[in-house]
Amino acid sequence: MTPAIRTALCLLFVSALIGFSSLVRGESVSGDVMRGWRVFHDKQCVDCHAVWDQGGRFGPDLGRTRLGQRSDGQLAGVMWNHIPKMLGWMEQTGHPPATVTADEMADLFVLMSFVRQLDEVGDPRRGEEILRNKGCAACHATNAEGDGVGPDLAKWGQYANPVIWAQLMWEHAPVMEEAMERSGMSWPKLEGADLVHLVAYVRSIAVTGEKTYLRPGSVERGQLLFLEKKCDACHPGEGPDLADANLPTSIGALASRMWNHSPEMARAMRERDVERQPVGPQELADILVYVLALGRADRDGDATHGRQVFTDKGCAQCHERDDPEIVPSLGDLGHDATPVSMAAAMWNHGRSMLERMTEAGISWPVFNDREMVDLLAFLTTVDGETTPP
Amino acid sequence: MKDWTDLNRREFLTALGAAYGSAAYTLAAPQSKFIEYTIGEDGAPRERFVNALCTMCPGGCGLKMRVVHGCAVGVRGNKDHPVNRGGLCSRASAVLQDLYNPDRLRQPLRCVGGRGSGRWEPVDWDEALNTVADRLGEIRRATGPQGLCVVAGRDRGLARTMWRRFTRAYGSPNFVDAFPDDNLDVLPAALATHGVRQRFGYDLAGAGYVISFNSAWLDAHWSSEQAARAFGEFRRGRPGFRPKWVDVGPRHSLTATKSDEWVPIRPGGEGTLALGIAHVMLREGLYDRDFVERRGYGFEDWTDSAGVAHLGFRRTVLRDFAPARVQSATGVPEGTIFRLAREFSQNRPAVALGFDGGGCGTQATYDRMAIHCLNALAGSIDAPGGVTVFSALSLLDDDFDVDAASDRGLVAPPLDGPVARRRLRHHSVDTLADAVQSGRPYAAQALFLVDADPVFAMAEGARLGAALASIPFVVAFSSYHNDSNRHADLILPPTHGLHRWDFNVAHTLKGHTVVTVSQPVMPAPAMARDPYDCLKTIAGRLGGGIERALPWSDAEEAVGAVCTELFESGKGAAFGPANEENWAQLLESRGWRAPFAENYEDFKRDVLAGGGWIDPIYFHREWDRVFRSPPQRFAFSSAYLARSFEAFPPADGEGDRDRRCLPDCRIEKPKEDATYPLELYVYELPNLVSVSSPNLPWLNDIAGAYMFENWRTWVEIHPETAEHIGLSSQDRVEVGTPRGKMVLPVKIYAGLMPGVIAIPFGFGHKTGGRWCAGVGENPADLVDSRKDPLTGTSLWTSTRASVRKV
Repeated sequence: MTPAIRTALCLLFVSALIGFSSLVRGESVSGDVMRGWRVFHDKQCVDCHAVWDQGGRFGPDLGRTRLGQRSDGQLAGVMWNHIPKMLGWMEQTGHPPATVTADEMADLFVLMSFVRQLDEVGDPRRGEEILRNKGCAACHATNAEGDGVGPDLAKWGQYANPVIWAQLMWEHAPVMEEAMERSGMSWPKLEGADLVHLVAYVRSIAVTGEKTYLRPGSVERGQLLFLEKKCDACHPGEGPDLADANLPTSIGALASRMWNHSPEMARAMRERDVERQPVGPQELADILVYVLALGRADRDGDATHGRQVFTDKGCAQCHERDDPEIVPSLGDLGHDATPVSMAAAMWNHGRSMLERMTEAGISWPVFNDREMVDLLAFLTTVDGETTPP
Repeated sequence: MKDWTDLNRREFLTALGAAYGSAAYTLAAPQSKFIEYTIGEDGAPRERFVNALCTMCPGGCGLKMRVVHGCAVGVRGNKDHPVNRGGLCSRASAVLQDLYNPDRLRQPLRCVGGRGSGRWEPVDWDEALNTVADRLGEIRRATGPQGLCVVAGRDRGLARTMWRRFTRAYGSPNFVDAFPDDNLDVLPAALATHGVRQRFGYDLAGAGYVISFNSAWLDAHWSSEQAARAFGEFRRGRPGFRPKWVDVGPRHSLTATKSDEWVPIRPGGEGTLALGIAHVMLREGLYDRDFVERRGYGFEDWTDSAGVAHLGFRRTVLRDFAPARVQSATGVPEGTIFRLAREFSQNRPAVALGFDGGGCGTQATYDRMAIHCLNALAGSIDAPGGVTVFSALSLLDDDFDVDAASDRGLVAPPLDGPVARRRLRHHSVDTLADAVQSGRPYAAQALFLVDADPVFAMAEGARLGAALASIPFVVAFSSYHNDSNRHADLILPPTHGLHRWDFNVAHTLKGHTVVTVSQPVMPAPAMARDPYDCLKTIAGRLGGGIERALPWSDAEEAVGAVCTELFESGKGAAFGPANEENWAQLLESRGWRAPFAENYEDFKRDVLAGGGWIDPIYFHREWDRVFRSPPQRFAFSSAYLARSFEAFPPADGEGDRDRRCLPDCRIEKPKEDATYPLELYVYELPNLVSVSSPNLPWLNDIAGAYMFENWRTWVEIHPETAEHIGLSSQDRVEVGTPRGKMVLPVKIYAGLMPGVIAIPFGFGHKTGGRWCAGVGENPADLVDSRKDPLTGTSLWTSTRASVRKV
């Protein structure tokens, strides 16, 4: 497979992760984040898992979890590993196991990706500290307090979304850089949720008015814009490969990263004679979501290693037996070996699997991130086969 | 004494059955406008559940009415409604008694035999509406439109909005809010300290400590379902953490019974105690310096631009409100004041609650300002777990032009008094009575009582009732006979809230704006008329700009316009499973927006199906929204009041201007009074507070359940006082005040401040239906009318009283 084809497949696959139709290994999987939200509640996932503090406390908060940039395959592995614990808790708390269809699981995967890229709600007090400590106040007044050369930040209070800030800053970066150079100031670096806190602070001091919001970004639109705005001239051309970069996991943090690298990016663009493209706030949101999706894309699985995993973890003990009435054969598994279908199957059959394995004295296997991805890669190679290659 | 209970229950059930039967027979009209919830997929839709707005009190809860064969037969709470989340209070449970009440008026009545005679004859709707329109036309031509006064009572939402528009278009400045149950008395304090005319909410679920200054939180809160749930969240929402609730009040109320500590206090002493606590916080440095320095105004002494020195909050409080002095004025021990101050400071976020109930004005504006200053000292203003400031949401704004006659009328001085109206934008029926009686600044030519009974509910009610005799034309738009409309020429009964399209704007205690959208649960009886239709008919007959002020063809279309405004705002979400509201909250709090409904049709469908709309976002510390009065800070010394005094100097001269802008609470020792040695405290009965109709036997049955009392008014007397006078619980006494006397049965109750007697408010209607007229006594007739110095509103807590065994 050529790199170009691999990249194209990768992009298509990422689309599915974020919730807008895509193809994964030739099979259409669609997901929708709002449907996922409803499934999350209808199937009572919310009783155990919170999303940014809304929901149960037994399982990890899906917004705050440290799953970070895990891919869907890796996410399926995490779910697999926790099946015994989840089932035990559901039994204890009287939650009947709810069946989840593959489509519903796809929606849930989309939701899980989406909520992980949200930022925390900003803290105005921390925002004020950041404004002071980063030296922003040297150039920017706030509510006419101060006399900087930059615009009064209070005017920006209507912008409730940090991406709008990032876009405004991106637009004005060349002017700011020049002004800062003149005054001998160094480019302020923002970390983590700094930008989100700044937004919260400025909102607290701003003249009240209608807030300006953005729609959640679209990977598809982002991908198109990425090309249209010539981002590909540097990424993954001569600049950092965004799919390999150790990117932040949230949109606000990614916007901060973009701000931090603004001078370097500007220099690189000048050197390569790439024109700086105007980018609207919604466009930037789409691009950032697309970039985050790149970071979460499943890397190439190693089918050979996957075969080894299949054997080492004891999967073969059940799935290579010629007893399709009891367990799906290897060929059946390979027929629909996507992270989503795997997660749905393990969720719906987890209890019976656990019981059978307990009866057979087999311990529940645990997969690390690499192993599950490789296992999926291996399974795709046995589609329709009844015996392993 | 007649046993009302058994007899009337039977009567009621008979009447209910008859009403149900007749309704089932007559109400077979097509119901295509209803959103239907059919149980089961097969068969005819014999049973439906329809979302509706509860109109039994101002809380703005959502109901889900069970409708069988076209008749409402059951009520439950709407689980998706953010205000009550499926909960139902006792008053809402009685909504069917209200709907099918045999004493409910169903057609217009004209007074015969002179006002107050109690003799009425039915009159045709067209004739009645024409009479009203013709009289209004004559008044407008002869004496000017300012002669009309509209006293707006309980009705909110569409009816109130339309009356406001109509009154403005007609050209009268006299649209008077007269619904004490709506806790309007809190608004002047909000205006003085924040510069906003909005109520406050309290995020108790996150609070660490509460001092309730006679807040009546669980007794008489304006949104009792929310209050109860918030109390539950405060108590049990954080396993392993039990925050403390201290209740301060003259009486061991229902709220006090649920508190960790009850602190008895003399009636009306709450503001003084608050400043005593503030004194300790200031002296010991226990306040939030950061908030005070950055967001406070008038805390320290200051000098203005003209070089005039001004007195600040700190020096005043440290000088005048030492705990020892506060003890002598309030009866609260000095040591308790020190302890409360320290506890309040050390358990943040801490909240100080003023009176948050309805009716019975118990706290003066200065008292409320003093209590609220504690929230500022604790840094709890607009902080999570602290005080929220509701956002204004104006729907169906007065976006129309008025004609020249209206322009002239609108600039006339309002009848309800220049003091409160101009200084603090506060309406007061108390001062309206003065104007009507005196005929100054001009004579009222017509008075409309819109779902209001101020003669019963106001301390000055009797005087207002007498004043009504001097108004040439009085019309009551109400569903029952009551103490006010007995003075009317015409009574035009509106349809019940469950028969109409309506909307209502409310807020959750956490500050979220909620709009309930209500559709008819069942068709109205043939004789009934929708209040919007009535008003539109009158406006149509008057024509011109008045007609144009009500452009919607009917109430449904007007409610549709509300849905359009909500949709176009682009904010919030329809009520639905809580998850949809949470979705909007999750996104909008982070700057994203992805509504479930993508077009107006979907949006309206969802709003009607869910019962309303919520903006689930509340951003804390938006200071520009929270403090609107320049310099946009919390006013320990009110800049708003200072400007008001500048523009409208007090009648009694300049006095101490600085002191008048600070929380100017009393620090007086109780006076010895041989004639009236006791203090009278009037409180509201939890199940009767704010209720839309007093003619509901279920509620009368449980009115004083926790005191084992019902169907009568009693006087509570402290055991020491009772022993001193020689009273037992079987006795009856004559309670006397400078205002009047009444004979009441005695209830010996240890839950009182010694030297205080308490009488519940709720019974004592002189006119009304079979289950309320002549039942009990109205303590308003005893209340001596000391006035709030800032608003002119009567205070119910300052009456000296005597008790004599009869």
